[in-house]
Amino acid sequence: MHRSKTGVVLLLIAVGMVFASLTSAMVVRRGLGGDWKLLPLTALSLGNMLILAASSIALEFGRRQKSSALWWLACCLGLLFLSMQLVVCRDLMRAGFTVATNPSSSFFYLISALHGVHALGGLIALATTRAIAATWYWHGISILWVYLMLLFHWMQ
Amino acid sequence: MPATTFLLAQCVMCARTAAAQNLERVAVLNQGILILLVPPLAAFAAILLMAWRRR
Repeated sequence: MHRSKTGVVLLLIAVGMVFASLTSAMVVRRGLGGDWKLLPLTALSLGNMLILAASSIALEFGRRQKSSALWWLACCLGLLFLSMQLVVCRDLMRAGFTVATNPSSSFFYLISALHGVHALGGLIALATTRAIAATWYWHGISILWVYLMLLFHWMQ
Repeated sequence: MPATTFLLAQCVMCARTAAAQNLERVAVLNQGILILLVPPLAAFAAILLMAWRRR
């Protein structure tokens, strides 16, 4: 395996461990306190997950077909995902769920922001390189978000 | 400390914290600890699998 791929695999393991620790903290916090409120997550958040998944699929086709257009489409969809995630957060705030409202909203904002920072890093890597390692990282970030959305809905 | 009977994979600090709780809370702490176990085990299994394939 090329060194860059090994590096990305190790990076994804480390990222996975960070989010596993947050999952653990979330499960324990919900179980120990009786103050967990339901988050009003809308269909927009689900649609946003599909946008990120579409970005990953476009990237994979772009890589296989060596298509620059598909590669840029994946980057644009990634940027759209990040923008829409800000809209999701704005909607939650308008619904009265700020960072300090409840542990459920605190975890949502923390995890969303942390994932967003990782996605931004991946987006910069995609826009500046054509490395396969960058596509692996992006797929990892997409799969991670699907898992996080399932987690948020399970936590409801 | 009857609750310690149900503890899983606890370090001494977690065990003492959990032992002071009721059984429902012990179960929650166990869940949290077992979740933390998943990524290291998955990474370990993946590395072993790669090593096995390239033996």
